[in-house]
Amino acid sequence: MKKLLTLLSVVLGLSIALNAQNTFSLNIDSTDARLSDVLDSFTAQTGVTFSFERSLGDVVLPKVHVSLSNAPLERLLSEVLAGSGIEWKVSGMTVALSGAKVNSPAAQKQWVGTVVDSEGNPLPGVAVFVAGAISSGSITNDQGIFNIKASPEDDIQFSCLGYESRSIKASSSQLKRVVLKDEAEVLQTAVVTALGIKRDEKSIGYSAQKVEGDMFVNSATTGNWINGMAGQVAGLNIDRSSSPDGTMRVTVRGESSADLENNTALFVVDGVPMYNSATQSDTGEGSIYAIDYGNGLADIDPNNIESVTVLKGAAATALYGSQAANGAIIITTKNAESQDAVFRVSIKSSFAADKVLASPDLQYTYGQGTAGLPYYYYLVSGEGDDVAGINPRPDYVSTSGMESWGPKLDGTPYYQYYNVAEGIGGHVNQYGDFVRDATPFVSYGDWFQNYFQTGLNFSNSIVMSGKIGKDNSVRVSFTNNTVNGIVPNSPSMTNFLAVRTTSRLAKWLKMETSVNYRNTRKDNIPVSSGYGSTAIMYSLWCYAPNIDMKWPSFYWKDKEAVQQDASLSGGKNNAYFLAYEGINNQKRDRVYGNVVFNADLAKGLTLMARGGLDIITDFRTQRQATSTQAKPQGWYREQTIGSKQYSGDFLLKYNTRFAGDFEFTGNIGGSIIWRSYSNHSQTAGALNIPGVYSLVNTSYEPKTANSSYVRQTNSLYGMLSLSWKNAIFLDVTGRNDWSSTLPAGHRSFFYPSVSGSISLNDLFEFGRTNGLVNLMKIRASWAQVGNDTAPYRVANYLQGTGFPGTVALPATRVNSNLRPEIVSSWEVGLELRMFKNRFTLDAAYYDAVTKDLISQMPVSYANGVNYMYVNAGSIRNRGVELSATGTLVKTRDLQWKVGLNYTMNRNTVVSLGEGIDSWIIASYSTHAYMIAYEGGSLTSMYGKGYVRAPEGSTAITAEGKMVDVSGLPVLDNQNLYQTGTELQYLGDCAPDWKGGFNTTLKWKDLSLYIGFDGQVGGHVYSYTNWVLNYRGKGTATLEGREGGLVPVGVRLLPDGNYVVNTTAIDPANIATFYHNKYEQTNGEANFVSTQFLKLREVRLEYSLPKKLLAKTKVLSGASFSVYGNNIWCWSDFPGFDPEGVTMRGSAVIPGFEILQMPSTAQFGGSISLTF
Amino acid sequence: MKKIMKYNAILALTLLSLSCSKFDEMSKNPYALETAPAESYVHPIMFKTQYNLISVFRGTTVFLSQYAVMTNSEVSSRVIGNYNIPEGTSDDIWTGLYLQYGNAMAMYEQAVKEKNDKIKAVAMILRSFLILQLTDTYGDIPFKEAGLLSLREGDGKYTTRYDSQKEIYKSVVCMLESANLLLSQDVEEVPSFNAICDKTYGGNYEQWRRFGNSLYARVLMRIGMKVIEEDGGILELGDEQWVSVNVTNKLSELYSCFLSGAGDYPMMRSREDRPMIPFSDQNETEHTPFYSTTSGNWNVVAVCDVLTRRMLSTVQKVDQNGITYYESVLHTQGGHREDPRYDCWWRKVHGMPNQMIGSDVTKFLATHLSSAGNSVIGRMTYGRNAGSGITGKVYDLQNASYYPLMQYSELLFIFAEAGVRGWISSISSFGAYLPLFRQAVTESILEWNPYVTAESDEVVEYVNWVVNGELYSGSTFNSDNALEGVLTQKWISSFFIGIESWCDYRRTGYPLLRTDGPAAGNDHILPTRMRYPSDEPYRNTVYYKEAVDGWLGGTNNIQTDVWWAATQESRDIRLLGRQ
Repeated sequence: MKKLLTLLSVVLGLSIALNAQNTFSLNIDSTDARLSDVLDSFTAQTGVTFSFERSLGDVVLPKVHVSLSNAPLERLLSEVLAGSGIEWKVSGMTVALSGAKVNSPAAQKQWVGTVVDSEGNPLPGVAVFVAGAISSGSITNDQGIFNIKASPEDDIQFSCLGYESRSIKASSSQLKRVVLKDEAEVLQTAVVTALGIKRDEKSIGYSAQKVEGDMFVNSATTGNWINGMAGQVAGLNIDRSSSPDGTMRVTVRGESSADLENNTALFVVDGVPMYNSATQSDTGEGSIYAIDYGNGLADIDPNNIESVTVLKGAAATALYGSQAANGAIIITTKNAESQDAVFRVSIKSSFAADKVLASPDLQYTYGQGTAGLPYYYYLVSGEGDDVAGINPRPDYVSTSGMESWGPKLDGTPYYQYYNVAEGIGGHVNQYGDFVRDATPFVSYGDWFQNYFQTGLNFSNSIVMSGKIGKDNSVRVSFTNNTVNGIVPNSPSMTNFLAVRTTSRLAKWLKMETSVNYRNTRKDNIPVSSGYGSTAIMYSLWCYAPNIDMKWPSFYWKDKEAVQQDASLSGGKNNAYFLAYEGINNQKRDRVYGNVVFNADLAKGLTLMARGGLDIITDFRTQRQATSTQAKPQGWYREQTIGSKQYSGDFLLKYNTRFAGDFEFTGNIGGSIIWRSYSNHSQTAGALNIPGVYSLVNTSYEPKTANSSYVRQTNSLYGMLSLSWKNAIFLDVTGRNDWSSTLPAGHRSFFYPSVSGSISLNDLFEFGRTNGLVNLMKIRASWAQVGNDTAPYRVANYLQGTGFPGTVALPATRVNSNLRPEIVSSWEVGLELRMFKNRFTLDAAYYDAVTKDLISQMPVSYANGVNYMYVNAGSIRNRGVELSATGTLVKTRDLQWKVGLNYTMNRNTVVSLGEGIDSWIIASYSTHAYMIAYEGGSLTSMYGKGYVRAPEGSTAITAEGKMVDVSGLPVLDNQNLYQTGTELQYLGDCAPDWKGGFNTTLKWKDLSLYIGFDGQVGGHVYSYTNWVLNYRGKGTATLEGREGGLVPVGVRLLPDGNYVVNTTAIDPANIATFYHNKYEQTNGEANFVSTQFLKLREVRLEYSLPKKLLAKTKVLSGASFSVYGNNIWCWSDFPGFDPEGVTMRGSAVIPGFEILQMPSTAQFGGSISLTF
Repeated sequence: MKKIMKYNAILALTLLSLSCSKFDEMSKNPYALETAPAESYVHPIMFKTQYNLISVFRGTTVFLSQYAVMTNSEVSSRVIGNYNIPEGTSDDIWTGLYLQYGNAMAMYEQAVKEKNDKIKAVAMILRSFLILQLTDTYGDIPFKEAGLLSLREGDGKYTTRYDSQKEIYKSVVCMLESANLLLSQDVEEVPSFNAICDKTYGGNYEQWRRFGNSLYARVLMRIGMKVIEEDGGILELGDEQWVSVNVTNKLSELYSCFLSGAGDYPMMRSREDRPMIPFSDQNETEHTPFYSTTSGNWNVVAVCDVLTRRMLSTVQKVDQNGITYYESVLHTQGGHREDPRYDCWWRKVHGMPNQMIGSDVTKFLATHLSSAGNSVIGRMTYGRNAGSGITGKVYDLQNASYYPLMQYSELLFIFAEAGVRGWISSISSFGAYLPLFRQAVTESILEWNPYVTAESDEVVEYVNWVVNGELYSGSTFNSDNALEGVLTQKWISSFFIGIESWCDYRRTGYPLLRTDGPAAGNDHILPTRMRYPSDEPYRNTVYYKEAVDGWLGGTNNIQTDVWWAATQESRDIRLLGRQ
């Protein structure tokens, strides 16, 4: 650690040393003043003297406006001399000026020219400006003509949205007629690859797919920028926790390890790996469900994303090593370096509203209660005692509860919910006593939607960016997001502040800095999904259509606010009580950033050195009010989570050409990543005074829980690249890691990669000249990536137990022989660009085998532990990825583009380790399992099914015919379906294939974007399905409530023969019938398809024409957009959203949908102005 | 060039820090211990075991042994009381107790390392207790290879072979003999271990020894009938130190030590000696498993009339739905008899018939209401301030401050049964075992009811009724029905004691329980064992298959008798209950 700090201080110290010279204050404000006059003033104020040729003193500086205090000399000089072309050299307190190019106003000229596109059409509205100059430049008129003042040596820059930017010397003859190429014709060649190395796309031998920043413009109001990635990238899979603003699980190219938490992609922001994992805060009820605080992915402001590159295979990520084994997502943030003006301010405001996307098929015909009983009464069994006196009729029994098998909602008067204070369900008689009334038993409609409110999202951001001289740029952005969630009482606010600078400190040295700050304040994060008593959905599923959702909103039973009224939810927590009293809040701050130095050391030799840090502090409080089901005496917890990451890395690069056509690039680099994490909590297990949440207000000593870790990875790596004729490319990489998390003998591990590509159209003539084939590239790669593990899995230790002075074993056995895991993969691909790049295609086939995976292997409890860390198993993922774009129509005013992508992944368990042929990857209670068998897929789902007549079974019908009854369900002696005891294969939770389709239509300044995506195949075990049918909430349970029904199936006679069932179920027994049909332990009954097609996004955007903007003099850009996200979903999925999975513990586990939250459709609009 | 030198310095520093000297320190968990004294394992094992057992009692045994009936609105035909045991019901015993067995093994190995024979003996008693609970529940289970992974390095062996129940019992007998021997030495020199680690006996080795030997009596009684039927009463142990044991002789020896308070096998001599585990609602660590159970969920367990008929005076009736039930005559007739434990366990007095089909349950509940509209069917006592049903005495079964792991009365019942069976000659006559029987019932009452003493009228009256009432096969307690009498009372006294009453039923067939009600499943057989956990086939494939294909005959069923229950006498008596 000390060494790391030393390194950091050297890196950081260097930047300080370069800046922290003597500082001065200077105040000059002059127009068209002579240089010598300005410098006199400079000397008078600072004591700095100047030496220069006499003629230089006559140079006129058009505008000097400097007002600085305590600034370094370099800064003052650059301010004063900016744009003058005068160079300086500092030597102590003397500055030597050289004016090789004297830029007197006389030397400046008016330059006139025309800007046209490649077809010769004039381009209006093109920004024209002098590079590095302070003057604001100009804009081409209707005829594409510009007029600008500059000296002959100046570079004049041209930039226009949708066209390639150009820079031309003022004196050049090309200035008369400037041709700007359409962006589509220009190959998007630069791709950011591992370690931030920018490569020509044609030269890389693996798949890297880029998503431009404008895909994320609407993400600000969706809580997470990653929403903008949906359907954009072949091979990418996003599992969303259904909690609002919840955890996102991003995987690339399938599940590669039996440890599902280990399969997520690495995120890298501006070259530094980002710490991402979520920290769980359980609710004191076990970890089947948890409060979802989201993971670190949300910490990136979508407004700042320049582009995102997805590096998919091992060859692409081999240089990132550990943790990039499952792909890497490289985020580049915006800086001001290449912006087209000296100073810009842009403002963006968005507003969006969220509505529950859709409800399941709910029935509104029958109310709460028990089948077969002709009356309704709202109290819960066992609570009757307390209000015996008020009960109006003696024969009323407690028949409500969380199920909906009650009487028909036909307006029959029943004694229902009553509330004396609110005057509901009764009246005050002449003596002033409250008397209950029988009121019509009717449906109040969609109780789900009536509970949720319209969510509101506001996002406001301001970006200021400027260039200081030729060599420096600064971009500062601030964004505020304010959200009111769909769950009542769940407001939150987020502030993002980001600063990016680039500066050329010396001719040979460039510095870039990036600092990001995100501050989150969530006033209440409801436990939204999951089967546990404090989850909103758990409560909500207890309500029924006979309840006016206004009723439970009076959630206190007593005036003293001590006892909740849980009667309408069958004794489970009142959903409003949870939202308003079970408050979980969070105050989180994260600062991350880095400083990068790029030095040109010699011809072809460059060095990059970078230092990064990432600090998170997270303070959470959790409340459970007195009378909460699980915490009858109330409960309060404070939790402080902190994490720090320091990283330092360098890369030395040498590039040379030799033997004419050969180019060689060598990279050597190294990095250190040090991370610490701590989690401290204190819990008051019972409150002394109800409603007071403080660790002081506790009936007994607060319980503390602490955990922490420190880990470090050191690495050295290298890459050799060789190319011939810029057409054949070969890369070889190698990396060695040293990880503190592995046992001493296995800490060091090495892994290589080889990749190559051939640009065929550079070698052979394919009609490049006539624009038929612009690029035809084939690529191939093979690579290994090593991976370490989490801390403290290699040394045995004992845990505390909560009882002083005692210990217990952890339930997972550590393993002191753990080896690093190695992923090997190869891939081939083809890239094609045709018809002036109007058609592009990228195809890839990959085959990745992961071996020696470090996994928490389930072992028999008889071992005294239930898991053990092992290196075991081998898993293969093979797949095809296709993406294509086409510009179908392209005229001056109209453009129509379409994009398509397709992903198909096949997962196979090759082996599971010595003597093991199956492995439970994940499970939910005993209801459903994800089990890996050798030869099967890792994501195979198993569960119990109906007892069915075996193959070849026959039965005699009433008519005396013999019929084949193989596979029909076998009913028991009560005519009920039976669940078998053996697990059977149910299906796969991974889809057969996924695809995305998007189209952009542009007409003049109006553009319309529509994006669809979906999947074919895929299943989950659904608790929502169970609760819909088991509790009589869904339309599927309407059949047979009156008149009964004849269950389809056979019965086994004592003699071993079958008979087809003809006996009907009595309506009084209908609940029992459905209970058995949809028993939660019956995986088959609750296994549902997640196939879907979603209208993911529609966006209509209008940008004010440049002409109009030019007239305003101040505005340089203005656009307005309206959009909708997650607008429609076509699916047979019975719950809310086929994509919604549930947060369990600190991870999102696919394959199990445990009472998800409804997903939302969002509609919004935004205004964006740039000055 | 100077600048290049500067960067080279950075490079050099980076390379230097690649040396990994700090990594060893970094790889240690700051919030965990590497080792701890053997005694520091004791209380967590005891607490978690009891936590597990009382929740198993309330979740499973209470229905299996027909103390209670499930009544909630979600009632389906697949409830434990109908013997349609849902998969997963019994997994908690396996998953919970094997983890504790792993701790007990770690404790044992640590004691060996410390060369501390006494704490080693305590570890052996704990291991015996745990493995007995497990084998009594499932039958053949991993034992010799169990708990090893918790202490040894991962050497690739993580599957565990199953051992036959008979083998396990032999080993347990050896362990309990050895523990007794180890604890007999130098008692004065090492009187106790750190009391903070042992909230049961405060580290008192002598009391541990009495508990171990009383557990030995339970073991001998459990296997007695089988060993007599199969091996003429002699269990060959095949151990160097412990060669064989004669079940009846050993029980006689234990009884004489119990009587005299002297001898080689000190036994529990009063309630003070029984292992009791403290719980508390004043400390999150010590909450009962029922701490947060809502009144609604607590109340879905209603008292079964099989139990009320033995605890209260009742009359048989038929209600408007044609359902036969037994109504308590407690409040309506004079001269009633009432078990002083009833108040502590149940609020309200009417019992419910068991094995009714779902719609009958609903109808029955709707019919049996008081004039105030409330159910008069008895539910378990709960709530810190709730008065209980009959006499207003307060008892909180939901959050009791302790639950016994094994009762003193159980030891008395064991000796009484041994007397009835003629295994202990000194108490084989009616006159000799009757006082022991009376004492056993009385001790059980005193275990649960804190408001009475052995001399209280209600206790004396009730015990007289137990002996003179016509409770057993319709007649008073006599030498012909003494076995039924003793075991029926032992059944009542085993309330809230893990799986003990279910074990006694399987072993003896008593009390006589109905297994063929309208909703009864499992071919009208009260489950003879619990299924191995549903994920065991995936965690321990080969040996699981070996066990299922072996003694279970191919399916993980709940109808195969475990070794000690497979006697003709037990089977015959169990059949009697089916009428």
